[in-house]
Order: sequence, then C-alpha cells, then structure tokens
Amino acid sequence: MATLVIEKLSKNFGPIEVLRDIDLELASGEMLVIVGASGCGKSTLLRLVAGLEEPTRGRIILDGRDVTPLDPSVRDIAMVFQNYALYPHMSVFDNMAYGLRIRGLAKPEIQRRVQEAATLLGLEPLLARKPRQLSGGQRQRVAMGRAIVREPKLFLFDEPLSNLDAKLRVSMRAEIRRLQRRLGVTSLYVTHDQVEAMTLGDRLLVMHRGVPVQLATPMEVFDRPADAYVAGFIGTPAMNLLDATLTAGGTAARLAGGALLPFADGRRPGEEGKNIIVGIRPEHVRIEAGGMPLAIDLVEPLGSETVLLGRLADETMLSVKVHGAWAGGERTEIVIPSASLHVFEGKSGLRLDPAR
Amino acid sequence: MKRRTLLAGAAAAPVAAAPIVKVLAAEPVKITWWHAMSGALGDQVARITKQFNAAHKDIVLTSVFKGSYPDTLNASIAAWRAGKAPNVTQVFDVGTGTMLAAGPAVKQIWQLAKETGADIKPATYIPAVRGYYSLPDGRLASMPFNSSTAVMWYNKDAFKMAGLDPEKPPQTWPEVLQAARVLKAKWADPLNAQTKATTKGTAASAAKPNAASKGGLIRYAVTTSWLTWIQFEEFSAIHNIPFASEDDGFKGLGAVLQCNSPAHVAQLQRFMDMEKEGTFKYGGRDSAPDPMFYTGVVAIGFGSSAGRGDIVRNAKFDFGEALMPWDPAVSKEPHNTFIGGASLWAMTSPHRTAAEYKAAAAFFQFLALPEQDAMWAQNSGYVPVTLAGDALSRKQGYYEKNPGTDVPIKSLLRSPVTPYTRGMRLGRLPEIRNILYEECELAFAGKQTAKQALDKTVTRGNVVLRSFQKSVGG
Amino acid sequence: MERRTIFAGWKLPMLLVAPQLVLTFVFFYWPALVAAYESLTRTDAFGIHVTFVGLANFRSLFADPLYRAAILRTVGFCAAVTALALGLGMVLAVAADRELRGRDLYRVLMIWPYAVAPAVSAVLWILLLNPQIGFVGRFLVTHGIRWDYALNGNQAMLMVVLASAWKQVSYNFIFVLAGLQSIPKAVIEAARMDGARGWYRFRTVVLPLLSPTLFFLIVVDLVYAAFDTFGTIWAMTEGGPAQATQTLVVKVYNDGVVNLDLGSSSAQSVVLMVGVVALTALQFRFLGRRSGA
Repeated sequence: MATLVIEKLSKNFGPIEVLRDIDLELASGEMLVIVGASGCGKSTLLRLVAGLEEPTRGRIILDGRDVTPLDPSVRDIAMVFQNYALYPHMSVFDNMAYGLRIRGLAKPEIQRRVQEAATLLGLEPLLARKPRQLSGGQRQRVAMGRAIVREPKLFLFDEPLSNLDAKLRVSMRAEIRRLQRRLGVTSLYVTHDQVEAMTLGDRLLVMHRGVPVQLATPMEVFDRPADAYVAGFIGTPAMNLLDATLTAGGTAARLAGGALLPFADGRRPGEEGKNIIVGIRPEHVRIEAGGMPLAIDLVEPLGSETVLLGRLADETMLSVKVHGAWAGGERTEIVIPSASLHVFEGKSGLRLDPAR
Repeated sequence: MKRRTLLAGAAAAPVAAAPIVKVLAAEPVKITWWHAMSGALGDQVARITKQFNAAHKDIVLTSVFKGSYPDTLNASIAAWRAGKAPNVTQVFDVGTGTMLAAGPAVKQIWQLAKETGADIKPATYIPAVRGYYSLPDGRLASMPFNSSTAVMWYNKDAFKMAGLDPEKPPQTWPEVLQAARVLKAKWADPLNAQTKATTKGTAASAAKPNAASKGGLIRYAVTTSWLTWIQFEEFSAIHNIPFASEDDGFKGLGAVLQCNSPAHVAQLQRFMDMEKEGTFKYGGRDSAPDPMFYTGVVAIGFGSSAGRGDIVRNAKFDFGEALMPWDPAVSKEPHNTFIGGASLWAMTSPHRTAAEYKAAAAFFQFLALPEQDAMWAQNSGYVPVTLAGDALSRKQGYYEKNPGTDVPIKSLLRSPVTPYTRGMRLGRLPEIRNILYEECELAFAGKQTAKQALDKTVTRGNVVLRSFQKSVGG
Repeated sequence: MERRTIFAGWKLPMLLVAPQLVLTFVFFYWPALVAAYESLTRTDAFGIHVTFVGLANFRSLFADPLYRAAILRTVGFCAAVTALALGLGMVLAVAADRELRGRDLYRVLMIWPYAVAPAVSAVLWILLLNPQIGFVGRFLVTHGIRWDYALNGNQAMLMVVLASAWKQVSYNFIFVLAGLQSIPKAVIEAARMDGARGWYRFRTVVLPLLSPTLFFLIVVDLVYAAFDTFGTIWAMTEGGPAQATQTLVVKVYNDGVVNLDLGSSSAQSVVLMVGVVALTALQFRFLGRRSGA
C-alpha cells in the first residue's frame, strides 16, 4: 500500500514523442484506470512505471521514494501482462513462488502465501500443472496469483482481459475489482475498453495521442467529458456529436439543418456564428411527436433496450436509445432536451461551460 | 572402354575384319601415368610427357596428378581392385614394401623387361638408388624416378658471425655438438646485438623488432626435418648398422626392428640433451621443420636434398649443403646414405595388352636416357638416378655452377653399398615411422627415457610388421 | 499417415523414390556394408590375400591400450569442443540479442568462420600460434611461456580444440540467437518484475526455455567434434605430438589411408558408426518425448 506520484513524465522513441508531461497522483489503495485507443501511449506509461522502459524526462515516486533510476527488479511492483507471460517450464506453484524465492523467503512462508493466493483464485487443484495445460482464464488467474503473492507496493495491469472471451471477461473483471478492493493495493490498470474502465476504476485517466485528456471519477468523465474526444470515447453507444454554430448572445446552438437548441444552463461565451459541437447521449434523445423528423436506417435490438440509427433532415447521423423493443416505423420525430446537452468548442473540442 | 567397343565392333563384323585390324594396328597405344608431383615438379612431369610423346609417335602417354603420395597410392590400389589401374604409377619410398607384396597387381621391372624384351639394365642406375628398389638378388622391382637423400644444410652467415669457418661444416656428431654450442652462444642469443648487425637474412626482421617479440626471432642452433628417416634410418646406414633384421627387411617379411641398439639410443639421447641445453629445437614431423632453416630460426638444419628449391627461393642468407655427420664412436668411417623419394611401378589390369606393357617399358627406358635424367635432376632438385645422367650433369658443369648440388650424389656414393645401406624394405613403414615419431616426441617432452622410447618403438613396430606379414599371407 | 496414396500402381512411386534410394544405398549402405565386411577380415591393401578372422580385429582393437586411450581422448576432445563452441556461441548470441549498434554487421561477421574451409582455418591458426613464426606463438615464447605444440601434447590439444571450436561457434551462434529471439519478451520482463536479475534470470528462465535448442546443438556439436574436425586436426598436427591429438576419426584415416591396415580401420569405422547411431537415437528419443508432451 503506497502512494504513486508521477511528475512531468515524457518518453520519446527516437524522434517520436509518445508521452508528454504526464502528471499523476495515486492515493494509497486507489485503482486508477488508464484508458484510450491503441497507440495513445497508455501502455508506454505503464511500462515506464514498471521500469521496463526508461523515461526521457520526469520522475516516478513510489511511496515517497524516487524509483526512476531503479531496475524493475527492485521497484517492488507486480505486473499482470496481456498474454499472461507465465514461465512455460514451471508449474503453477513455481510460477507463483518464483518471485518469493528470489526475495529469499522461507519455504513455509512461500508455501503459505501461494496456498492463500491459490485458494483466493480457485487454483488449488491446478498447482502442479504447467501453463500449457491450463485454459486462458486459468492462466489469467495464475498471472494474478503471481502478482498477489508478492504483496507488492503497486499492481500494474496491462490489458489483462483482452485475450479472454466476452463472458469470461465480465466475470474476471468483477473478480479483479473484488480482489483489488480486498487487498487494498494501489493499482494502475490499462485498457482500451471503456466499459472495463468505467466499472473498475476509482478514477479514470483518459489519454489521447500521448497526452492526458481527463483525470476524474468514472461518473464525472461520463457526465462532464472534458472534450469532444472523451465524450465520444466514453459511453455506449457513443454520444452524438453534432456540428452547430452559436447564436447571438450565446443562448443557443443552431444545428447545420437550421434547428435551434437553446442552452438550459446558461449562455456560452463567443460571438454569433462561432463553430461549436453539441453532444447528446443517445439515451437522452426523446422520441416525441412534433419534434425533428428522423429517418431510421438501422434498428439494433439489445434486449431491454434498442438503438436506432437514423438521419436528420439535413442527413446528419444521429443515434437514439429507447427502452424495450422498437415498435415504430421507419420514420419518427425526436426532441433533444436542453438539460442533457454537452457543448464543446468547434476548433479545440474543449468543453464549453456557461459563462459566469 | 574405348578398346572394348572397338573389340566388340571387330567381333561383330567378321567379314570386314581385315581392314579393321589394319586400322587398329595404326591406332597409337594409350598409356596413363599417375603421379603426385605438384607445382613446378608437375610442370616437369608435363614436359617429360610431351617429350616422350614427341619421341614415340606410336604411343600416347597421359599423365594425371592424383594428389599427395598416400592419395596416389590409395587411388592406384582402389583402381586396381576395380580393374582400372593405370599403366604406371608413382609410389613413395615407404610404399615400396606394400608394392612388393602386391603380387599380381604389379609387373616388376625385371619381369616387364623379360616379357617385352626391353633392355633395362640395373647397372645403369646409381647403386644406392637401385638398391632401394631392387630384390635382394639385384633384380630391379621398380623404376627409380625422383630421388633425394639426407643432407645437412647450414647457414654460412651464422657460422661467420659465430666465428666458425663457413667452408668447414662439422663432419662428426661431436663437431656438430660443439658448433651448436658456439652458435647458441654467439648467434642464437637474442641479447647479442651482433646478431642484428651481421646476418643478412635475419637482419631485416631483427632490425625492426616486432612488437610481439621484442628480441626478433627466437633462434636455436639445430633442427631436423624427417627425424625418423634422417636421424634413425639414414643414421643406421651411415654407421652400417641394421635398423631392422633380415638386412633391414630385404631378405624377408620376418624382419624385426633393431633400432633400440645402444647406438640408436645414444643418437636419441644426443637430441634430447641438445633439446635440454637449448641447442636443438624439435619442429614437428616430416618436412614441417623445413621453414625453420630457411627463415633463419636455426643455423643447422638436417633435411632432404630435395628441399634445395625452397631454400634457394626463401633464404636471405648464404647457405651451404654438407654431408651428414657421423659418430666415430659407432663407426670408424661414414657409409653411404640411401635415397628417399619415389619410384615408378608398372601395374597390371585385366585386358591389358602386350603393347601397353611394351609402351610402359619404352617410357622407363626414355626416363633413363642420360639427357632426360640430367634435365630432370637439374630442373627438379632431385639427384640423377643414372650414372650417365650424373656424368652428363658434371660434364655440363652444373655442379660447378651450383656448388653443393653434388653433395647428395657424393653422399650416395660415399662408400660401397652394404646390406645395411640399401634402404628400408619394411611393410607399412609409414606407420612404423609414425610410431617412432610418437615415441620420440614423448621422450622430448620428458615423459620417457631414450631407451624406453626406442624399446616401445620396437615392440609396437613389430606388431605392425607381423600384422603386415600375415595380411600378405607371408 | 492418414493421407493415402493417390498413385494407381507401384511403378511411378517407385520411380520417384528411386533416385533417393539409389543415392542412400550407394553412399551409405554400400560403404557401410563393405566396412562391416572388411572389419571381419584381415587383408592386404590390394585385397589379394583375404582371410576371414571373425571378431579378431575388434578384439585386438579393444585390447590395445592406445585405442582405449584414443576413445577417452575423443570423448574429452568432443566435450571440450562442444562446451567451448556452445559457450562462446551462447555468449555472443546473448550479446547480439541486445540492441546494439552495428548489430547486422556483427551478425554477418559471426557467421564467417563457418564458411572457411577446415584446411584454411588450420593454416590461419598455425600462422597465429606457431612458436617460431606465429604472432601469438612468438609473443608467448618471448614472454617466458614454454609454448611448443610440436612437443607439448596438452598445448597441441588446446590448439586443435580452439581451432575446431572456433569453426563451430558460428553455427551455435545462429541457433542460440534464433532460440533467444523465440522466447517471448514478456516472459523475460515478467521475470524482471519478479525481481530476477542477470545470471539468475538467465539460469532460471532463459536457459530452461533454450534447452531444446541447446540439446540439439550439443548433439550436433558432438557429432561435429567427433567427425568433422578431421580436416582441422590433420592439417594442424596430424594427430601428434605422440598421439596427443589423435581422435578416433584421425586414427581411422591414419590406419586406413596411411597405414593401409584395412581390417582394423574398418573395425574402427564400425565402432564409430555404432556411436553415431547411438547419438542419433538419443536425439530422436529426446525430441520425440518433447514433441509428445
């Protein structure tokens, strides 16, 4: 249990800058999920913390100690790899005991810890097996076990669930969360899956092109995305992002098709005609007679909900999520409630809050 | 193959037989000669072949290089077993025992002469040469060809620098030992500044000391090539003592080695003592130590007279060629040395025609012509094998123009040939030589005494001799 | 196995495999059979007097203390060459596996010795080590080391081991490098995270994962050392001084080609043949067990 502080961390691969000036602070026992599309630098950040890569600039401070110059072997950090990276020639027991033996722990202590972790993960009957005799989920558990027995200061997870099938992924996700809470180990978890990010993290760090875009709780990221990228990235189906211009006085947005959407929470700064983006989550769009006409191209039933993909009069794409099955026809009318609108600057994509 | 097709053709057309036979008669006889002469010696073989063909319009001789001596011998044996032996093949001195036991595989020269009526007289050849290739009763078994003998090469510049008379090389082993000590003290000592100044050849390398060897070359007084042949076999001849019983094997297959006599032990002990006091350096087997003489590492190098070409080409100093030393404690006077080198054997083959044997005999006679023999000797560095060839060289002034070149002949003619100075007639002699090498090497390395080394040589060598005796049905 | 023949008759398939069968027969079975036959006879070089002697050649072979010494010497030689070639190949491969500048050039240079003919490499080594003319040899002598491989058997052995191993380092290098590169990077990283460093990590993780490659190389190296080093040894020492560098193949050549003792030489070939068959069987068994698991 320890705190983690990352200061101005940057990494270049040759001339290419993959990470720029990352600042981050993790409280003891916190689970921070780093999320972003592939290539955003999230894995690199994790590897820098692990010590598997050397930063170009910046510092990593674990539990008050600067570990930046240290070899990974002495940082007291455990990592769960995407492809598990188990030692193929060792039994499950030996895989878990390896790190403990290096630390010179007494045999009974090693036995106790491995046994405990095995019980926790349901691995007891598999202790004598070799990794190649295990299923994907079992291997994943062994990888977890190997990290747990070490009782490290910090857990690192590098997309640990991405090689599992969908069902297993959901149950393992819950298990990881449960374990992390119970052990209370400060953790960094990297994923490209926003559902995983939302469900697992105490806080999320959304990254985009090597730069942190938003660091906040999952709900805040969902409710108040810092920019249009985050808005589009978090939430399924993705938020509708519509091009618009600001009306005089900043009281409303005028969509490309001419429709006016007044702001419920106040005026936005800027001149009339300024390019803006308005965002509305599909579940917030209301089907209501007398609204804007929507031509429905595709109906995606999800069971309890249905997603409609359609076009506004000016051919702007819009998706709508409704409860239950869709009984309507190929045309409908919709209303975009002012209270659920997100407004972003057209050029930078940054969130545009009401002027004070 | 060609011959067979022609014969088949002749049989298939009996009606037209007469004209075909005529055509066959006009066809020249084809014979092949396998040899082991590479480089400049190979060029000489080509010259001989060309001149022979020019002189014999009815014979086509083809010479084929078959690799080293053992390679050539093995190729000939394999070819004979496959029924495709060459008409003539070159076999090195130590293979003579094997060839003599080859029975139906070869036609010995006396046999060939008798069958073809060719006039080949043993008396044509220098006694010490023909002795090696003769049966005990003097009949010639194979044709002497390239022959050399053991000589002592010495560095005249080194002798001068050490204060020794360069025109008076040591003649006996005690003199060799004495000269060696002087050479070591006054020439081989790397600290001696004089070393660098006066010796022409080594001066170059010594003047610019190599970073790796501060004192330039490391020098020794004496080395020997062909330790077994020169220092034991030839040593025995020079002192007229047997190397093996049955007159060194000439009288029969039952010979046993006798090279552990006190004289032989003293000879090995002499080298061991010199090795210990730093005047002698063992440089390996056969001709491996040759470069030690011509690069100026040693001042006295025992070697084959055939090494002259290499020395002339490489030595950057004045050198001399001298007769082998002898040990007055063993023999009052020195005897002749015998030859090394190789001889030519006529081989048999199924379907071999009388014409082919005749052609082979003609080739042997051609080689014995004085002008051919003299030319071969002068161009190759080997000794003339015929008395007439030697006389011709002398008349042509070759020995005068090339001082020292008559030393090998002098060595061969130093005394009348005795039963112990004809050479070695032992089966699997290469193996026996290797055994002697091995045991001497162990003695030099301090692992056994001289007596032990030679006793073991005799024991191990006799096993080989008995095995050979059994294998040839003797 | 499951694929059944699609040939109608047996003539075409026979025709297709015939060249391979003929080659195998002419270049392997026939000489092997002749050697086996000759090992039971006593014969002169020309094969004029052939006596069937049963196992006498083998009996005298194994009764000969020099042959028993040659077996031991060969075992030691093979072990030394294998250890050196594999060890060096491994060290160099580990170095090449790192990201270093000029890696490609380095790799090409590493593969060179393999392409050099044994006789040529032997000459190079002699030019280096000869006590009178060799660069290193003279250095040793002028610095008070009694370096003299013409007489000192241990030094001669050391020299032929060096020269033989040098030629085989390339081969080992290539295979170990390939083996190293086939180890998942993440496994090594996992070991680093687990706290394993340097030699310990190499020994407990890299080495076990490399073991199939290493086993293969050990067998190949042993066979190389036992058979393919003839050219090198013959060119450097001809088996001497005394018999210090005479391995079994050198002895076969010596007794067969130089000494023309065909019976004994054939018997020795048969003994060697048994050795190769044993080694190959061992390899098959090991590889079979691994792939079966």
